[in-house]
Amino acid sequence: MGQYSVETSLYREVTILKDTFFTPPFNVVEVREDKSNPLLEVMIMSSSPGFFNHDHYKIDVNVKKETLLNIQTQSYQRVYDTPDGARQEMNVNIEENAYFSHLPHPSVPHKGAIFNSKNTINLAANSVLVWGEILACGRKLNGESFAFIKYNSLTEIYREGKLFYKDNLYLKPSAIDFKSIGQYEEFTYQANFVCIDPFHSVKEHIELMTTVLAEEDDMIFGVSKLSEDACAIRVLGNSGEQLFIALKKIRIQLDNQANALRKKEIEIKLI
Amino acid sequence: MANNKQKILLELLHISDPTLPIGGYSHSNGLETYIQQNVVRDVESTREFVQNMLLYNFKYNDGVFVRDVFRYGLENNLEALLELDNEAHALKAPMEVRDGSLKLGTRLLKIYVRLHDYEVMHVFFNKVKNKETPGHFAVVFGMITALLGAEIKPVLSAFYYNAAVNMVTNSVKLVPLGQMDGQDILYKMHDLIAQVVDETLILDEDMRGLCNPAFDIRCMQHETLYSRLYMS
Repeated sequence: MGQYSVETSLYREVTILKDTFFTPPFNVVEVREDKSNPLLEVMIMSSSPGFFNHDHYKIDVNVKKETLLNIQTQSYQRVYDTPDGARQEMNVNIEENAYFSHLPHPSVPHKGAIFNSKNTINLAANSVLVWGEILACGRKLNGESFAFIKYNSLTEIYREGKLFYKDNLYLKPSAIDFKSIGQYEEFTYQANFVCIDPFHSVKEHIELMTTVLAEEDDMIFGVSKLSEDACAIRVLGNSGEQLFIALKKIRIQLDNQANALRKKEIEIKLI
Repeated sequence: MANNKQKILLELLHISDPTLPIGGYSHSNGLETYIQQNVVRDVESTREFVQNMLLYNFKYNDGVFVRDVFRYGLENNLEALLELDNEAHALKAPMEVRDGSLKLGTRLLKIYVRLHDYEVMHVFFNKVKNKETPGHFAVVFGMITALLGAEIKPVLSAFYYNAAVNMVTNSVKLVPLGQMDGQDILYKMHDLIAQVVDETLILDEDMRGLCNPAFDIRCMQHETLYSRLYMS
């Protein structure tokens, strides 16, 4: 079983890595360029090209009180022919007044892939989450559109112990006609994105997201309010790279807002 | 005096009547967007829309909640009902669809609390009024029909039929289609409804709450359509 866990800590108002544990194929590397930035950016490096049969990854992330963390991935996550399946579990705990953002590269389930993943995210009061996932139909250029057997990614987000958002990305090409109305229609990539942020206006977030996505061609998207402090995006497109870059722009802007807000708070403290 | 079977049939006809004043006719659940984008534009594309909504959206989402709530309604298990209501809320990402389901649920409750004194329904209604639980349509429908003493298969049939009638009525007005075209589509849905009812009862639990990306997007896009006749 491949495993990594990340835990943050606060050192002079700047978030640092406190406890990190990883087993092959993972490595966790800090990639923050400006060390004075409160937001800690880490990248998960992996020596494996993707999931093989029976692979099971377990990820634990603990974002401690008042820390800010962004986790990035290195490359596309491939799921190879996995007749008995492969799986991943990710548990994220975001403590009070903490920030966590994560938009991994698109997942690409190859022909014959069977994949299950479960993401469980717990938020304390006043904590912020920026979360996205992108799924490809397979190796489209190799003629492998929807040639995988099953892809299931279940995400459950709890706020103060209560289920707040649930997303079940479940694709079984033998059971569902993906070309038909309501599913993928003429598209081949799907992205779901969610932002929970009590510190900024949801209206401003929706405007930002809509502006960024409206610049893109060959995709359709919707942005909607989940509550007074949360919103969600759904996108369908034909290029994983395009979806990833567009959503990354949004993620970076939200990261920057969190950084700026925290810097301001630090300045006030110092006065 | 009607016998029990006849009484239950009348109850189900009443609760699934599209003219029940809960406002079902004012929600298109993304259909208005599809029509404005010219994706749903004729008999065949309307049929495909209605079919896919039943087969991929209702079956794994609202239908599952009617099914599970029905079971817990029979047991008067309020805690389980509240948990399902919260789960139904968490799964509905498009705002207008979520708000529409809440409006329908609340209005349906308002009708039935005047007619029956089932304790669990009144406690649930008070919790909705006090904003302690959202009160989604599928949850309220499943609870009331269980308390009325109906059986699950007719309940699900009535629920899906009500959904199909609303979709077809809206299509006839918006596409527009002829009244006879609408009736053809609806009548030919009977076998599909029966199939979806059976599948709801045995579906793979991993597919519970299945995300329908293009449906969700059209529902979200509806919020910013230039001209809108429907609330969703």
